[in-house]
Amino acid sequence: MPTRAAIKAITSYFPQSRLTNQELASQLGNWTAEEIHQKTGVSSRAIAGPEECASDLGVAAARRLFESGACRAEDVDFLLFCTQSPDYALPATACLVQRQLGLRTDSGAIDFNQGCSGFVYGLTLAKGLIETGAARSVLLITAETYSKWIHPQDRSVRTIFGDGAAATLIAGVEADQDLIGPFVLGTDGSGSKNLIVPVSGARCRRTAQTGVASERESGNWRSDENLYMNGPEILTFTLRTVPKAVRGLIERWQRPLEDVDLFVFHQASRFMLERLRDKMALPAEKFWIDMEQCANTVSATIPIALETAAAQGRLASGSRVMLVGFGVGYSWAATMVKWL
Amino acid sequence: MDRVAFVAKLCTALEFPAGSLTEKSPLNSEAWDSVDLLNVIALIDEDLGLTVSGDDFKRCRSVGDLFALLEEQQTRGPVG
Repeated sequence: MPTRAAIKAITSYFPQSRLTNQELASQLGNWTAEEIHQKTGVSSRAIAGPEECASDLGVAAARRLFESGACRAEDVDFLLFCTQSPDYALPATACLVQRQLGLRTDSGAIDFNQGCSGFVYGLTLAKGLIETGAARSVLLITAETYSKWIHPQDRSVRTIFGDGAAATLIAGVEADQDLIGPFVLGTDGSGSKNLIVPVSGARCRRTAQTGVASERESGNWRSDENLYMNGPEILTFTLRTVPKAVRGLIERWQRPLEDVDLFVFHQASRFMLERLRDKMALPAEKFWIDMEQCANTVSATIPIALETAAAQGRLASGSRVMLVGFGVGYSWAATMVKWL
Repeated sequence: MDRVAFVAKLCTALEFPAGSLTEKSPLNSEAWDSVDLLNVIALIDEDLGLTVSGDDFKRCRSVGDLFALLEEQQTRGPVG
């Protein structure tokens, strides 16, 4: 039988420091803690400390993976590190993580910059590496600290994003059919301006003015060095794109939608997930929504959801799970996973 | 499109008192909470099967302008 890539194990990690709705309500005014919960589906979120970066969260998640006995550091042939808040512009955070985790120096290690679609993109890359024989065990780390980019007085983003990381082991197993795949991938850079940190790279350099915050739409404050999200445009993009991606995936999968045991979409916000679920008439009992304690951790939401779903007995061996990531870019990606 | 029924749902989505909106009512979405706009975009998607972009919506100055936009979209079909 051929070697097929499969998800072998997932572990997550959250920073110790937490930000509750009560704290947010007292800092932001305007919304009560209950209103924040009602609008976002989030009660509290983990926030990285001042000295805590994406590499630290990713390393902690991977150490939990090694401690679980799923694999040893020396077994990893390739590290894929997904973040949009890297420790440095250069070098790649993956190189720092290789050192901290004690991965072999003859292993591959790269960063890739994707947000909400990042986990599914990581699966496409891992599958390619494994099924071409370039690697046997791939460690996919999705680690995000959007809080580093967020202005404290911008409630449009501060209420929904949290920091966190997940480490996913993908390795080859003998199987007669795909355990990850098929895929639907998509990109539309016309939406790049709608979820962006304008001054964060070489295009727009920092000046004395770029860090000065001012009041923007709906009473939110930020500078051009902070995260900006045009929520209505992101919702429009999502409502237009995700149902098409799901239909496209079902066509490629060549099985009926009813054969999906669990739908795990990027945990963007409860509001958005409920709209998508209702628009596609997906059964609520098969549709995962759980962001109460962790909020939107960008590329880490899907593996965190999978880990939780498995721990709660919602995934059994042979379960067929649809994963859909969508957002910043715009970028989207969907796939099917057969749980081992 | 049942305009009366839609206006009633618009009132609910915006948490306005029932009957407080008519076709002539001004729509000042710039002053809305961002969540209000999300609610209205979701309502239009759910109720009419149309996906209106936030930027298009912001150009509507009255409920009547919004109807004109929605009817134009219904005629030419949703974008994207």
